[in-house]
Amino acid sequence: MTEQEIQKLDEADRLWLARAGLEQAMLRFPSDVLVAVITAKNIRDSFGLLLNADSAVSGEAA
Amino acid sequence: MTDLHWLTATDIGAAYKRRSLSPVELVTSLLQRIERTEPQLNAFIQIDPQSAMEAARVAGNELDSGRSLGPLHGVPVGIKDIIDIAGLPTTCHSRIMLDNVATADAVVVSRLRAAGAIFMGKMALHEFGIGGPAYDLPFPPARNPWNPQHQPGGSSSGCGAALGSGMLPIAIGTDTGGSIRNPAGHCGIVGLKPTYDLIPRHGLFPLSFTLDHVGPMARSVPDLALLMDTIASPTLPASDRGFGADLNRGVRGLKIGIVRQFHESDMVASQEITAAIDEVSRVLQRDGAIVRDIRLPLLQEFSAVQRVIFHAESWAVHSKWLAERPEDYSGISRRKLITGALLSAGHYVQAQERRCRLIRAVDDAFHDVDILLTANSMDPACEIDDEHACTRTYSRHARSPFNLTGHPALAVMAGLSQDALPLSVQFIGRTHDEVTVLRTGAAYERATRSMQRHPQPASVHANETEAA
Repeated sequence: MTEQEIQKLDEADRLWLARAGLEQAMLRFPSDVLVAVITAKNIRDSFGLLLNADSAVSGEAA
Repeated sequence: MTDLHWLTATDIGAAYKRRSLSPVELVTSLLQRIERTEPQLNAFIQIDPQSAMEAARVAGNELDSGRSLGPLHGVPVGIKDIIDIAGLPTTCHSRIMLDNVATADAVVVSRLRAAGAIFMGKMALHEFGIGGPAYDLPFPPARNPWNPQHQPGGSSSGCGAALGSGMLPIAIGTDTGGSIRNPAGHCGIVGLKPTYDLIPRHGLFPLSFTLDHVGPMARSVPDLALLMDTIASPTLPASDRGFGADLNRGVRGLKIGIVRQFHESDMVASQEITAAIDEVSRVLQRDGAIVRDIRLPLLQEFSAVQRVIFHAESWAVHSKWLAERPEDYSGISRRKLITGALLSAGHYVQAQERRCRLIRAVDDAFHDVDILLTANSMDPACEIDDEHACTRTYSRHARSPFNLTGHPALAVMAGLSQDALPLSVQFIGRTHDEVTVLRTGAAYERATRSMQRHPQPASVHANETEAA
């Protein structure tokens, strides 16, 4: 990944990617990795919101 | 007999019984149809004409001598190229698996083989069942039989394109986030994601252990029942009477709940889809069903849980190759699969716990109704080369909730858009109640004759006109 792109990742994401053995993917496909990082953040955020909120409806008849 | 390529499996079985058609005649005709149509649609990864003709000769001899193996004997079938047929490559539409030759049949294939079905070839898909239409792969993407400039849905895209264009009567697909129902909807055919684990997954290359389902695709609901009778595990209660037991029973008295929130507020569908759902509701009511609105948890809630499980599990399957051979994936697969590397075990376990709650919520809905009616895709199929539209519309659907909960879900055609592209809805049933799901689909199909509409791709039309 370029220096600029690496800066866009936070430390935790960089660690995760390195631990996952994705150094080659980071070097060769930086924009794909960046999209994956953004998508994962979005997934974690949506799931976090869900965990923090009460489930509004549970199969209740309208 | 004319138009052999539009015969259903049920028609074919009846014609064999009357001796008005032989497997060799049918396979010859379909191979000619494939030769004319396939260059436009890219539905196949591999066509196996020699084996198919040989199997047709064997089936013909057996049928002639009164040794029928059942209703699928001599019926041609396509298999998504993520499911093993012994002796043929299972490529998963990927460079990663180009040299992978299957040494044994998948369970679903062995059951079809025992029933005398004829394997015509391996069908195109989205790489490994993930991603979308892509050009950076060893095989081109399948296209929509109603308009080849449009995408056919996926990931069982080749199955959808082949059935929708009359190249095959039946096929076997897989469905992890809607991969049977999406192409069924966009190609104007029918597809069933059965109850989780009703059809064994052994011999299927996995994507997500929790969400993967194997299921049938066809051009009529009775054909789905025929396929289910052959491929579903015989010891389970739903198969005791045969999956087609109630096909002719109609919907009088059946309680159907429309999940309007999915397409009206959780994710606003195109007007054509909304109108199609309303029309399906009217048809069912006219035929005696009791239709009411019902609510489920929000699509966003299903999606938040499904995405964690899907990405975590697909990463687990692909992590080694992504580390060692990232260049051998398409860009779209690489982006989706790497996502899972950034989710934790904690996320995964919490998502599995939430999944149990969602299963209970859907089960609870079935205390009040027998069938749920929902949107399938929220939009008609977009143009295949419009990357932005593909990215935007692929995630706009109401299919993955039922991968998460495991309930059986049937996609049926529900008319055409202004641009002559198929529209579709889903019928969802109680766990292991495929019989009622198929009953509802068959009643709708009879009432609307929806499955008698076929596309005429330009080259097919030209060839048929020339032939005439």
